[in-house]
Amino acid sequence: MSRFLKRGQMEMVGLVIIVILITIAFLFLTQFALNDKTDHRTFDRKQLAVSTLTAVMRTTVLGCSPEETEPLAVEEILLDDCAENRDFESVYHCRSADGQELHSCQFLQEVLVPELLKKSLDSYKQRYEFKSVLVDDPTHPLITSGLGCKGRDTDTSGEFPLNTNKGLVSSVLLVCD
Amino acid sequence: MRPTKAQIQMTETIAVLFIFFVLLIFGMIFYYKYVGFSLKEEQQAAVERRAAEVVTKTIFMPEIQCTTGNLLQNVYCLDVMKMNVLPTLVSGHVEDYYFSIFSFATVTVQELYPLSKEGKGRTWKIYDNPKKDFTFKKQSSFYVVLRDDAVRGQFSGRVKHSFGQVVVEVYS
Repeated sequence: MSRFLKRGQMEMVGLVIIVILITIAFLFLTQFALNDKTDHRTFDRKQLAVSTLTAVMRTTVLGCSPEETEPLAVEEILLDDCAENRDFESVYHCRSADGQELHSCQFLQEVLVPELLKKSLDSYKQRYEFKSVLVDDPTHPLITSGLGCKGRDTDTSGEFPLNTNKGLVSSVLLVCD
Repeated sequence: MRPTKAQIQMTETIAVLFIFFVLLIFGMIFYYKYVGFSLKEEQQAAVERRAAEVVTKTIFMPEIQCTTGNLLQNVYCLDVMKMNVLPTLVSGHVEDYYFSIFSFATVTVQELYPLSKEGKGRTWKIYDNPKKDFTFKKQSSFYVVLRDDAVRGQFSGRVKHSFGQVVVEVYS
């Protein structure tokens, strides 16, 4: 009787060891598989955020009064004008699709930035958040766009600083899941 | 007639061996399926890596990069005037030079903003060498600014910069 019990016990121990080994092997396998994917996606998304914001900021707009024939850069001229004249009449006025002349802040917020991001990130169904703020007044952003990235796995373009007479303006683009 | 102890042990051994081989066959099937699957994933990841590499090579290609004199103006900027003549240069040197850089791939640059009155942007096919019998194909896009020195401001001399997209398709 005791011999039979011993043999049964040994078989049980063997079985338990096999199950433990298989479980450990499976856990390792899944862990490695998941890690590989995350690293690769993170690299792609970071590059996407940096390249998109760089391109948006350097794009120029034609046909804005009073310099209709001059190409005006988004960051260097229009964002600078928007930061300096947010509460006043802006120096530059750009046209919307229906021909209406808009304040530089309104043009960037309602026309240009949404259009560029719609053609780039939106077309790949990529969620994002764009924000330009005066560093001294972060609660009232100059421009915002996108559905936001709160609580999501996010990559950032890093801050793009612009020195204006009203202080430092910081622009950032977050790209998320 | 009751089976003898030896017969019982023999049956038990056969049963154990049967279960062992069934488990072994299941294990082998699972292993080969997994190996096949991971091989496919590996190939796909390699194509994705190559797509990212080709994008980077395109952005840093001296033939089309924005420069001021010999100095690099900025990253993520391509020169429209250089791109206008590049396809002629590339098409004559695909096998002896550009294939070693891009391999089997298609690289296209598209102007997304501003568009013409007809609602179209310009397109440049930088490199076009697709693989005919490909197993995997991966498309990757990055955004750049396109400097066009042909359009300058009359008074300020500022150069027009368009918003553009680099579309890369790689094959394996």
